[in-house]
Amino acid sequence: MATPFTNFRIFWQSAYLSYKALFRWFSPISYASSKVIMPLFQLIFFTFLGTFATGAENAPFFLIGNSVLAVAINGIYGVSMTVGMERRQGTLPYLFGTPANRLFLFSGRAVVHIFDGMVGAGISLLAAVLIFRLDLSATNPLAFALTILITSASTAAMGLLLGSLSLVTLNVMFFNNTIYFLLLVLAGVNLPLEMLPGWARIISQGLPLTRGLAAARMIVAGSGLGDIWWLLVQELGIGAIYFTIGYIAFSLFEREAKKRGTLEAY
Amino acid sequence: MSQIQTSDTLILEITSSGKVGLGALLRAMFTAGWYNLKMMAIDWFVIFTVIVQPLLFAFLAVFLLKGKGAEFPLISIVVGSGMVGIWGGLLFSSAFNLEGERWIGSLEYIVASPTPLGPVITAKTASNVLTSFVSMSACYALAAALLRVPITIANIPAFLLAVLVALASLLCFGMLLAPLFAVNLMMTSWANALEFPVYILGGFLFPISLLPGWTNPLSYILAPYWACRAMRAAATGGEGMWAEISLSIAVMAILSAVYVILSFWLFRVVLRRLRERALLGMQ
Amino acid sequence: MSTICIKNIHHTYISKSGIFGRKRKEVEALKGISFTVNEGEIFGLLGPNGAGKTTMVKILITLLIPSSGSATVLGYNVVSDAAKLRPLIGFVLGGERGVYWRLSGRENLRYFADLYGIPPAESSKRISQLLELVGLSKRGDDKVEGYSRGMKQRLHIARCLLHNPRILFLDEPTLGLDPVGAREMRSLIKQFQEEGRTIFLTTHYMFEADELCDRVAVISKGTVAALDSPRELKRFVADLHVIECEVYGILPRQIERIKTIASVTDVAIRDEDGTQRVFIHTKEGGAAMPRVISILEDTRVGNINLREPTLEDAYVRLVGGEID
Ligand SMILES: Nc1ncnc2c1ncn2[C@@H]1O[C@H](COP(=O)(O)OP(=O)(O)OP(=O)(O)O)[C@@H](O)[C@H]1O
Ligand SMILES: [Mg+2]
Repeated sequence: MATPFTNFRIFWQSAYLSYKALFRWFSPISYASSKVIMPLFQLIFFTFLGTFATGAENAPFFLIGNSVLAVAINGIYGVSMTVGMERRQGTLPYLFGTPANRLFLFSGRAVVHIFDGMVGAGISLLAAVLIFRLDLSATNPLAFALTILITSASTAAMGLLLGSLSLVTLNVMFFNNTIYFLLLVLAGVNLPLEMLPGWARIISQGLPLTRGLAAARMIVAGSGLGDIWWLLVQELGIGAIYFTIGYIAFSLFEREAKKRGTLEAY
Repeated sequence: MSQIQTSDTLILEITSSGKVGLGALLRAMFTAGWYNLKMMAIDWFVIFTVIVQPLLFAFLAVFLLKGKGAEFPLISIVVGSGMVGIWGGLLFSSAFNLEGERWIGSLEYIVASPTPLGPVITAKTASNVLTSFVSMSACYALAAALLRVPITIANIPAFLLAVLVALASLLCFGMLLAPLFAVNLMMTSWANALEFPVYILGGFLFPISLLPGWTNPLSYILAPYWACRAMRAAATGGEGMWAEISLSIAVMAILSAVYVILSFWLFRVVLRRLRERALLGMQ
Repeated sequence: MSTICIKNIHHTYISKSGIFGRKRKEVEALKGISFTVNEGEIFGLLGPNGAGKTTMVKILITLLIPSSGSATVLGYNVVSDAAKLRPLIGFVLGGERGVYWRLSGRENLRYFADLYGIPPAESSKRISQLLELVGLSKRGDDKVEGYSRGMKQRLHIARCLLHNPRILFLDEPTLGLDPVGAREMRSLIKQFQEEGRTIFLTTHYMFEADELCDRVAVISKGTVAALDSPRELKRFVADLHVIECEVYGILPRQIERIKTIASVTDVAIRDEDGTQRVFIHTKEGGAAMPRVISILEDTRVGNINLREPTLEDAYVRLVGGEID
């Protein structure tokens, strides 16, 4: 029978496994390429595009936006791929054969990526400071780190939802890419929310990252936790909603996948 | 027991060196490209790089750049985000076509056939690039019609010429990329890393004069940069249009020749390496 | 005349692992293989898992460059004349990989017909013929996705015959086929021989080698342990009898004790889900039987019998108890 202790173990085992999978998949070279080089050039591209379009004084807007977006590489791709990869390697049926608590199995997969995502954002921010001389003198580091942590967690919750999709579709990469690009365009990363047409603003309110990023911008501008706590609570709330939907979907899809026998299909 | 004989006389179109003749080569390339299209039509990843990503990019670019007015007209944005889509398609198909064959297990069968691998992969890449181009043109035409924003092309014959040369030289660039990716078998992530640098160096959505001077030579050796310049010149017209187009086309011709020569050499080196290390199949 | 001539082939796989690929691992898959294959014969390469059979085949079909040694096929060197050799040989690497699932069987064949430079006027007819040969005429226009494993394997057979090659290399052609499918595959292979082709095949099944092959090479741990006709190889164990028994849960200790019986030369075990089959080679006919029975006293034994040796027993003796 599952005791709290076994659940705890399942959680960490699951976390450990997804961490191992991450590093087997991403050898150091390819880890650098998708976690450092890709986000870095993305940051450079959008900063040049943004300053060309709207003036050099707006560089910090694009720098902060794209740095915070780096958490989504782990949150979206990393998290959903751990499930997808298990399917490809054929280990899913074994996992589902166990009576392990699904909630812990499920969330364990995300935890490593939440922290790795923070590292990613840190690397991008460092690049922004070194290359573009982003000014962080007014930033409260603790408040900023907390904001990044929460944002990373809420994108990882979205990633879990996408990951559970991979139980029923082989095209999860398509959804990953689409969501990632929606964040890029609609979450206030490269376009101020005020510039968006009404329908796009509605979408942006439903995405993770939107509020966390808004909070991060305020912190860089000198605000303290007292000014932004409400945004963080909302960001957490969004994350919790995606987590819940993801968890329900995971359970439903698990049953569906067992019925259709798609667990082993690749 | 069947009575079907399999040993009828059969004369293959093969030269004395053991390779297929030119006619047979073209036929094999056509079949490879055509079947690639058939298989791709149901690949969602392709749909993303070909349609979703460029449209989101165009949306972003239009919103950001609409304030620039005549300095960066709508058609420039369309050409630039179109290049984003084509480069994405070219990059990922060059990276994945060969790796895909390895995954399926067909690479060994292709390499052992008398048709050289390079043309087969190139034919597949060509069909990918052509689809990205066609589907994107259709998307922009549709979007312009729906939003009632006229997309004006200053000189249509010049534009078509520029498009044609641009596609050809991009394809030659793809021929160089395919064996490059095969040198390192973790190419998936390298493809990710190469996507944005070319958006930057290609000057698709902002001029490269904004970049530090030392990066300009890198732009100059990239066909995508000249492709974008030629198409943009033809689309926006103006006084120096033909000078700009001829310069771009001339450079693309030279670059393409270099790419192709390098590609032949690299394909040979890479194939030898794959044969030595037993990497043609998957263990 | 020898069609395939292999001289002192060595092959070492080098794989790199670990962070930054620092750890080098070397596997010496072939350690000096030499033999020849005659024109028109069916030649079988046998050996346990990892013996180097597939490695040998890949070298002969020009897909792998050996570390040292040389091999010629139809007089062409497999490394330096690879291009000239390729149109003359056909091969199947076993299993169901290597066909395009999203295309139909016919399209798969059309693609390879074009890669082999088969004139378009000929190819349609030839493709239909081959589909019929392998029993896929009715399913030829269906996507390969929906094919069973056996159908995919038969499609591979059709593919490898497209360009009418003089030599066929078949790596475990009956792996994973049901008994009927495997029998059909064997009769096709015999037909190909009758049509004048040389066939080089690898297999794990001794009765298959016995039934098909004119000559057999047994390789073990990268070297040739024996090379002869199945009949001669059987003579190698002619002085033996085999006690074959089916047991449920035999202990290593018991095997050790059986091995100490003076007349016993080899003991081999094969796992068959839930039960094990034990093969005991003995020099004095049934005399060892009572001792074996007494050793197995506490174990559940299915049936137990004494029989004449087969090619499989010769194989067991050659590779020293490894059966897979
Ligand atoms: N690409 C490779 N890289 C590294 N080692 C390899 C590679 N291919 C094979 N080996 C090793 O070389 C040895 C021989 O392998 P090979 O596949 O030739 O054996 P085999 O006789 O075909 O076995 P099986 O009966 O299992 O098919 C094995 O130890 C195997 O692990
Ligand atoms: Mg093998």
